[in-house]
Amino acid sequence: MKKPLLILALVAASCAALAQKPATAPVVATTTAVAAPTDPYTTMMTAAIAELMNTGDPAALKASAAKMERAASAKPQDWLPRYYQAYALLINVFQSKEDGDAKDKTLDQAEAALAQARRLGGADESELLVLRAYIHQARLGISPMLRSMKYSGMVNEAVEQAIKLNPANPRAYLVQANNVYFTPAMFGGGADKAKPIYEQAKARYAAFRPASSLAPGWGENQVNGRLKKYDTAIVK
Amino acid sequence: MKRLLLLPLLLLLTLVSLAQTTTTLRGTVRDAAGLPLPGVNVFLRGTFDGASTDSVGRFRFETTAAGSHVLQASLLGFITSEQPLTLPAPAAPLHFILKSTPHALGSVIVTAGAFEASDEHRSAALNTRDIQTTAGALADVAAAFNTLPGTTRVGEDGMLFVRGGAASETKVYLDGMLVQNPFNATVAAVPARGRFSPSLFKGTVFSTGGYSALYGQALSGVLLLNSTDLAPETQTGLSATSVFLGASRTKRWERTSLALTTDYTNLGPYTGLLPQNVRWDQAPRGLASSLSLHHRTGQAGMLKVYGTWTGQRLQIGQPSPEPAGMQTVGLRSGNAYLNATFRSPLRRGWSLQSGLAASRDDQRLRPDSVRLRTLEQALVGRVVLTNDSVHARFNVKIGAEGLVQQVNQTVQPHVADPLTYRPEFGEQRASGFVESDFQLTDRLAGRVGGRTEYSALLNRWNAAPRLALAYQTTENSSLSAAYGHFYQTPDNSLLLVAAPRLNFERARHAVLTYQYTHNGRLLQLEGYQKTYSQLVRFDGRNFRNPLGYNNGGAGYARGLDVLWRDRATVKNLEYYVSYGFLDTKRQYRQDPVPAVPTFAARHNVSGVTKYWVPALHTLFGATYSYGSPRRYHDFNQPEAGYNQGRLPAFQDLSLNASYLTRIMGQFAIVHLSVNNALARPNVYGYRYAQQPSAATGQLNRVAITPTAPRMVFLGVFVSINKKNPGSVSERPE
Repeated sequence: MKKPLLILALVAASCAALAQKPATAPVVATTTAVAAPTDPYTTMMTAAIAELMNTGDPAALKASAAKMERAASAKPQDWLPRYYQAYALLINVFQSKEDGDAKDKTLDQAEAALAQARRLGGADESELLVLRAYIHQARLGISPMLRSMKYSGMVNEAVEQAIKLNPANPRAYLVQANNVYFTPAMFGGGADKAKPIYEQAKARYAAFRPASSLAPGWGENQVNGRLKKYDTAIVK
Repeated sequence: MKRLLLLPLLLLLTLVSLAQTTTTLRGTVRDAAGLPLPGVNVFLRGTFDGASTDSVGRFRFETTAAGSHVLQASLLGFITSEQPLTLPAPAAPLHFILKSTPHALGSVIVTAGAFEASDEHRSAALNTRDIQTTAGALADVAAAFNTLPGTTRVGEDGMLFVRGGAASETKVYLDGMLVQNPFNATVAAVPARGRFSPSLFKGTVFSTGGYSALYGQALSGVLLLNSTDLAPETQTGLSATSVFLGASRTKRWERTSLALTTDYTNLGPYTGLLPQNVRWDQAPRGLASSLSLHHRTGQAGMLKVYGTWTGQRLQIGQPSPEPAGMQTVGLRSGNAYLNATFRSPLRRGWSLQSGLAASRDDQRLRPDSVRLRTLEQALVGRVVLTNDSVHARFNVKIGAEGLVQQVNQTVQPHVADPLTYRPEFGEQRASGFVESDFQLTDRLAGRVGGRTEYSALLNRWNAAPRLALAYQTTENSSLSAAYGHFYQTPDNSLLLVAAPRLNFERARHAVLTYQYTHNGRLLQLEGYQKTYSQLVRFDGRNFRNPLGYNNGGAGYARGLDVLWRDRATVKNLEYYVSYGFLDTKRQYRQDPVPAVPTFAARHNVSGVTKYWVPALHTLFGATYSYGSPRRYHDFNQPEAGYNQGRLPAFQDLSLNASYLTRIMGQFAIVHLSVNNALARPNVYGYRYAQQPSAATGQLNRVAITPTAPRMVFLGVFVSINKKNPGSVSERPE
């Protein structure tokens, strides 16, 4: 099994190399059962997404966002680069140590990218809504005292819509669970109330198959990490 | 197996190196002023190859692309720049200059003269919650803005006195519509409260001078209230407090929301329990209901209908200098207000904002044996067309306003005598205005406009030019200036006597503001000069004689306002300190000579703090206010001159606490506040007897004081079935 895989990879890589000379080599369409990267765009996107998913460094996340913007220029009709650009900027806000104003500006850019993704055909509306909810959560996190009233509701509204559009989207449950988790128990939130939602998210992740190799697939580790914390908390 | 892995890898590498030549592209990106731009995404269009510029605007990346390509440099807020090049390219550095997006209209904001309370604009001085949680304000919009510089606290009145201006010189606009009676009816020496609850609004702008041509009829300032759009969720609210009981029901549909509220106020039990400085024959009581229906039409259209009805009554016995020792004033009033507005985008970049508002205000006052009824009915219409895409560097707003107003008064000088006077007037006023926001350069922006009004009652025109400029001095600071002419129709009480003889009153404002804002801290310094002319004067000894009325009054006000706000230094603590210096004199109404008006204090200081203690789920607040001695006219010392008496300085410390909790599983807030916690005996003025006392030969006098040594408010507010209770106290990862 390994051998054909490797050969396939080799073919793909060579094609990629060839295709970098503008408009020379035609893209070979493969119809193998394995969803292998086939065109240079997909190859590069796969690498860029992997890079983005494996970093927590604010500078690297900004760089990732810039790369996704470049990807959008390479394939302007694809919604995914804009989606990941927004995602990278959003995660940057959670990781960075900048002040609130700077974070708000970054989130403005994330919202702009998300709006661009939305305008493009073929976008997965449910995933866009999850990201929107996540952005609201980031806004809330900048100043919980002042913003929780407004944004907590907006997070829920977006998540509920996302679930309505695609009940199988595990990320919707993840963001919902986070929203509950970080709401104090006295306001109807808390770790205990969030746990079943995390568990539901876990179940949805288990059943989840991304629409394509590039389609959003993040969040499973976060869910597992959270659920693991529950176990250790009990041990304590 | 390992060898098998290596083989294709090697092959791959050879292939890659054979097929491609690597070129290094490097260079710099600067802005139009020559300053390096960091964070610019520089890349070969159509490829993933590129890099972001570093802190000194340099970029460097490698590419294997060959042939004709376009190198692109882009950054949000700037026009994307591109350079064609053929690869492999020479190693010479490449330079880009990025111009800022011309339609960054609004990137430089005119701050002169305006304080904003908004959750949407982060540069705003306050947010909407500030109004509700300011200690001492008791959730009254005007009282909260009274802690900002440029205002004088006039405790016996409760309205906004802006920069040496009388209360009637500040007008209230609700969703763009002028509100005729924005304050609840009251009697002398009992402060008025605003008619509108602060929770109705998503943003409030309080302008203390130099305001936009979109608004008029205010010599000193405007308070612009912008109501929220769709209510976020369906819920029921119940409140029980020391002075009122309230219930509300909000229903949210997909594109529509409906909210109904009703409040029953009765200060009877409260005034019976706590010591009062006055005698309440009938403590204030009233019933208020409101309805608000919001409907979204299309993507950006919004129809709002808001109606409110209030009925109230009270009877108060106040200390009197006359031998009787007490004077009695009764009040019965009813007010109905309906405001319908509609906004929608039109074609070719135009958008429409329109509205219609109707009001009816009926007040029956009974000061001792006098009977006075005032009925005011008004209808206001407004339409504004805005085009934001007429040009990249400016927009255009044009609009018109119409007002029809009828005021009828019945005056019966003595209840036993059937003799009554029935003064009345009817006004029709039309206004037109045009305004443009423009952005001249990256750093220089402004607003220019003009307004004209015609009053059928006065049979006069006016034309008022307005101009404001803002210059961004650094990333965090700006300098702005505003100049304008402002006209106002004289107050109803003057029009009732002498309408046809009168003209518009007039003021000119010049304002210069420096603002520094960075990372949760804000410093604002504002100097101003206001010149009054055409103020109405009359003969104080014979104020019913229309012939004694003219527009010969004049005056000035100048000063410096300082605001320092800090939300960053101490976690969970926010505070602001405001100071206003005011130098003003005027001769108007019955003033025999130019004098400092009784409602102006030379130095005004407020300190407002709020501290959130997460462990207690409680927000604590404290407000301290100081006003230097205000003037009064001492009838026993006429030789000292007019308005030369000095009241004691005004001081007030108010405290509050809001505890967030759950009651029977429902989200609830318990709010306790104490105004004038130290029970300082503030004096707002004196009432003098008509005749000298036989014993001393002097006019007897009594002090005008607050109605109670302190005001205590305790309330519980419960939100039922609130789906999304807020207050997340920790950030997600």
